[in-house]
Amino acid sequence: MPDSKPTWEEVARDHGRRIYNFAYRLTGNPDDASDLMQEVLLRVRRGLAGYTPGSFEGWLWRITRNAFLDDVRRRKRRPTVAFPEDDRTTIGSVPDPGEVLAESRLPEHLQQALLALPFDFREAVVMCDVVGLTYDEIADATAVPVGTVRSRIHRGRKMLRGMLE
Amino acid sequence: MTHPNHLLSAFLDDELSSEEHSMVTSHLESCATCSSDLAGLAQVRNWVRALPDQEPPVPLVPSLRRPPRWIWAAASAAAAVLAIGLVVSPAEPAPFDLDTLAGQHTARVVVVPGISSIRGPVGGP
Repeated sequence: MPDSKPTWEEVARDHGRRIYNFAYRLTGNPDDASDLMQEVLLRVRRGLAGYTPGSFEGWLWRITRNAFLDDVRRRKRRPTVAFPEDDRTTIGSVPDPGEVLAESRLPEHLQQALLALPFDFREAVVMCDVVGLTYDEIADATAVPVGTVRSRIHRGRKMLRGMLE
Repeated sequence: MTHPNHLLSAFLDDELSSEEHSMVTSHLESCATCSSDLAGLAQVRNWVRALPDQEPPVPLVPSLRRPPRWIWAAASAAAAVLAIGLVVSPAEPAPFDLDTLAGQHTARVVVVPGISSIRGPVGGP
């Protein structure tokens, strides 16, 4: 959709689900993710008139990121969730990544680990591995150099590995 | 030996320049440590990519008709403040004089036989 101006309905239909999943992995909460998705789609509808066809992904994810950060500021709290004590014990006691993979609770543990990451790392990892953006697109959306994106993704994955193994 | 550890995630994502990619590839052939790190990073990457896709709880387009929950919360809070204000300091009814009120309003009423309704023009000052 990069070469022409999409309609709002097209954005909602083609990207709403990705926006929701991005929001869900960032917040870990379906209600917050739903609110964020709606806020993003409202901003898209308002902003489409001024959108110049070009880097649509960067434009869309910049809106999404800003909506998320505005929400965080409004709530005056970080949407991080601490590890419950039981989960810390469980995660720390799992020795083999293969066993972790086989565990049915891996998605829960992984979600908790994502939420424990510093925001910049979590955002970069989610944009890359959940949304599927390239490093250039992430750099565009987050207004940082590609080298910073590369570093954030790498450090984020290393931290996740440390928490899950 | 300098380990290009910081490049391993970008290597996995095919986000390195051709020179960097060649350098990392040749290094991995002789470095078990970096090869192990690469395998661990690849595992984490696979896990995140395999996270189950979440279904939005509401239809995407109609959902815009529902304001975010915080708007409902703000509206509820405003309604509560208003209600408390009415209870704590109810508005004093304005005093009026019945004769003055009657003098300001006139009505002409037509009663239709057999029908229990009335209609007609009502005028004020």
